Amino acid sequence: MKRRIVDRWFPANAMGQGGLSARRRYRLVIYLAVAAIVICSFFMFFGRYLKEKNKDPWTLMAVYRVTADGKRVLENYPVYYYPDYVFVNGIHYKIEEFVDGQPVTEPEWPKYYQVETEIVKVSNFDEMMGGVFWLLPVVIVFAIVEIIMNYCSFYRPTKSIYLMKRFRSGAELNRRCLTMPIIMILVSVLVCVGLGALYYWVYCNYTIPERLPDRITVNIGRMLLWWS
Amino acid sequence: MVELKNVGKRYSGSVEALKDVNLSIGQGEIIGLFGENGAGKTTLMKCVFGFVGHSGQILLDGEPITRKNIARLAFGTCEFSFLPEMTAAEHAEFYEHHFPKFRKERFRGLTEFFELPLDRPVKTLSAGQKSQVEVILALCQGAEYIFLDEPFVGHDIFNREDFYKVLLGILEPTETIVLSTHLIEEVEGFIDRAVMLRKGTVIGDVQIADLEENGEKLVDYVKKLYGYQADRVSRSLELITGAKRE
Repeated sequence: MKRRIVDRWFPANAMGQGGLSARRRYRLVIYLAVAAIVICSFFMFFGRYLKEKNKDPWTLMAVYRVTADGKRVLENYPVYYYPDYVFVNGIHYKIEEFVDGQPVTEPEWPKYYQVETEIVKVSNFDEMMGGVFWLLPVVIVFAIVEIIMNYCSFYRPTKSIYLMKRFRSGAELNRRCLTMPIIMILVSVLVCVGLGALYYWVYCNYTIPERLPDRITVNIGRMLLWWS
Repeated sequence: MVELKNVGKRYSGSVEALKDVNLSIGQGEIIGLFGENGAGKTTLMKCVFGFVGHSGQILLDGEPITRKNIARLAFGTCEFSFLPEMTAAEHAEFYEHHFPKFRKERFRGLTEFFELPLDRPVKTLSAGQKSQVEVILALCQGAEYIFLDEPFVGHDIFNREDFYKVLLGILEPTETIVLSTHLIEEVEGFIDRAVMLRKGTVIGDVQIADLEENGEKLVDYVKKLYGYQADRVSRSLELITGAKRE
């Protein structure tokens, strides 16, 4: 009875692979491994995000622009930071002196910009999400290979295709070949979207409002949050 | 009735597996389908089920054979059509689910008779047991027309004898068997009609009762039909060894 239920929801191919019973575990292990990689990749990026003082050269620093009337305006610029060089908004500066322990460059830099005292990594949301979603194409390719293998299993080593073709509907064959790969893709998409939503929620709540990236990225994130 | 009208099949290239085959298979008949290797026996059966494309028409009670009526036909093949990882018991459940007329009692009786292990994946069974499972499933599907392609591969003589006897005992008058085999002498007592194929063409179609009436044996009729030269072997041996033989 239990076996029948398993076969109904997680049908195996002709070689008994793809389902969830004991003889079919190796595929399950692959699915779990893929899911684990997706989740790990999320936490990897998530961890990087939460890390305040990173050593990566690629960072976004909040900088103050000093206006003509002496007011300081907080701005976000992508900055490449190396020990001796700083690239602010695509312009290269050599660091000559440090103000409050932070690099100051010449010649325009000291006049117009002052680097905030704390360097906080604030990557764009979509940039970080790429780390979660890059596995999806891999999962899809894997699923396509799996589908082909499943159909082939009905031709070798036995010709169980002859049995499948005698059924009233062709659904049984397709069910056995497509269900598990589709479940695999759906689970991966759900995991990615779910984690993405969680990620975005954390991103919005732990990032100071001035440092939130442009509106488009924020809207994409909101959409994902709503979707999930 | 299954009717084949001008059925032809050409495989890629110029290999013509079937040429203009016309055949009627009536309900309740037990037909032996004979021919040398490559004569077209298997291709003919595959055409009936639509496993391979073909020219001409194949009708079941005047209707083309489609998914709608294909469950009225069963197929047991020496290539095996079971799912190797499933046990015989699981196959029974699977068949029952897909073929509402599945004969559960017959399945139980036959598996008991052949002492088939029900709880082992079919792939782990011996060659003979595998073909027993294949034939039993075809017989139990609940089909009216049962096509068996070389079903006794791997069976020993006793096993085959038993099979014929059991088959004759269990078949209902409405059940039709089309049996493709090389074991002409063995099945002579079991079949009603013999159809002979050669190079894709039906060259003979005879009722066993008619042969018996004429006092002729099926194997002799087949040999005559195929132009079998009894002295072929001795002539070849003479050629090979140079020694004259009686």
